[in-house]
Amino acid sequence: MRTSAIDVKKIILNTLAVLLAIFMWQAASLWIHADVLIASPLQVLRRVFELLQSETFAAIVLRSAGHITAGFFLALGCAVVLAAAAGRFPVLEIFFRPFLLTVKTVPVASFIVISLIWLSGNKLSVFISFLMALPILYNNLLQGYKNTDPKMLQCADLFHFSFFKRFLLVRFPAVKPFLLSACSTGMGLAWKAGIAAEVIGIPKDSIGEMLYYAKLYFDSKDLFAWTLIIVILSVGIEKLFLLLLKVIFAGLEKKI
Amino acid sequence: MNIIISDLCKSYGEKKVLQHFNATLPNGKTTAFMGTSGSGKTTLANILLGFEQADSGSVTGIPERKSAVFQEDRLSENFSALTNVQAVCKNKAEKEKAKKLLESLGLANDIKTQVKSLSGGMKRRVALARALCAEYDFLVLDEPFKGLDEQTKEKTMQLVKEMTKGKTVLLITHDKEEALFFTDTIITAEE
Repeated sequence: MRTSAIDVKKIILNTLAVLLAIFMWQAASLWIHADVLIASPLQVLRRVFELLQSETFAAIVLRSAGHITAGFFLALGCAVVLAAAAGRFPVLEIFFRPFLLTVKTVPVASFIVISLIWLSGNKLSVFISFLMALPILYNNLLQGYKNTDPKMLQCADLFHFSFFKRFLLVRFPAVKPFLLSACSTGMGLAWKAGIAAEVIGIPKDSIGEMLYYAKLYFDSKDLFAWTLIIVILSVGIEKLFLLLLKVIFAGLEKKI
Repeated sequence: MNIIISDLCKSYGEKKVLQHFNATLPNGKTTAFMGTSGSGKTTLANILLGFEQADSGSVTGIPERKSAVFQEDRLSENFSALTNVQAVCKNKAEKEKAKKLLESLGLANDIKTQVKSLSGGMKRRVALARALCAEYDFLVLDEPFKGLDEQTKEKTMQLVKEMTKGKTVLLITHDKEEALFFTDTIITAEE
């Protein structure tokens, strides 16, 4: 009862915060009174609905989302392998460090421009999303691996747990919170970097291309509308993926 | 084969935990090991289980197949009581045995409950069930009845005594009555 009261209060506060932000946006657009500089929330919403009805919308969204999520999943796969290897053989962590530190510190724009020399605009967003998500996923997974309770590992040794049981009962509970947090942050980063790559690489029929032309023609309604779509896609896919992970985890926990 | 502990020494920095410790754990019998807190009881258990190395001295006759109830429960908190116990089982028959054992320990209604939702005493019984379900020739019980109420403790002790008959067991405890319930062979940390 108490929890649900807190939940309701939280929902009300969150809604109020969103309404306040929209109100401030509306006030700013009225005050500036120039569509070319700042479109109003209503204009943006109307434009989003127009875009949703356009024939090319689904293809554009699918292409961009496909490239970015592909980059993210590639990074997740690599991060799992690299973190497991570095956790098992700590010397590898030292060898991986310079590469990951470079990726973490070099500005994403530099990577995009350098990568454009070798990659087409289509492949660029996959690669850049991969590159930006990899360090955060790797670091978090490695942290989770190191966080495993050594006493539980002793326990697994004593009872001669198989690889699967050892993973599921000992490693996985330690890694799980780190994995969920890394996926949440990594997915957001992949979207930001992936869209930036598209804006610079301008692959045909992509969200990045739409943003590029909106900027080129000072079409702030389109610019805001596509940005809103990106935010919705990014948050939606992240939530969907986290839900999927939780379902997979629950299924795995029943496997023993 | 008896387990023979000879001249065992173990220190952590300046702190000497075990000093020239000698003992024999007779094969197929329960030996109680008593001592005050910090007298090296758990350290001895860790050495016998192969988790720690002694600074000097030797231990001979330790079988390959070992099992234990640790001072902490060391259970996977997100999994059910049954899953934790069945994790040490090798086949269906053993898994069935695990279920029956949990029921005998008074956990029939909590078999499917996540360990993190169980009370301290219940967790202790899950840890005991796991140790008893594993295949072993040598069992270490480090304060196994800690946190159990008197009635449950009595029942649990009776069950453990029956199930460990003929096995080599090291029972670590503070409680003399508990030690005497299981065995006449009592060693102390001072020995």
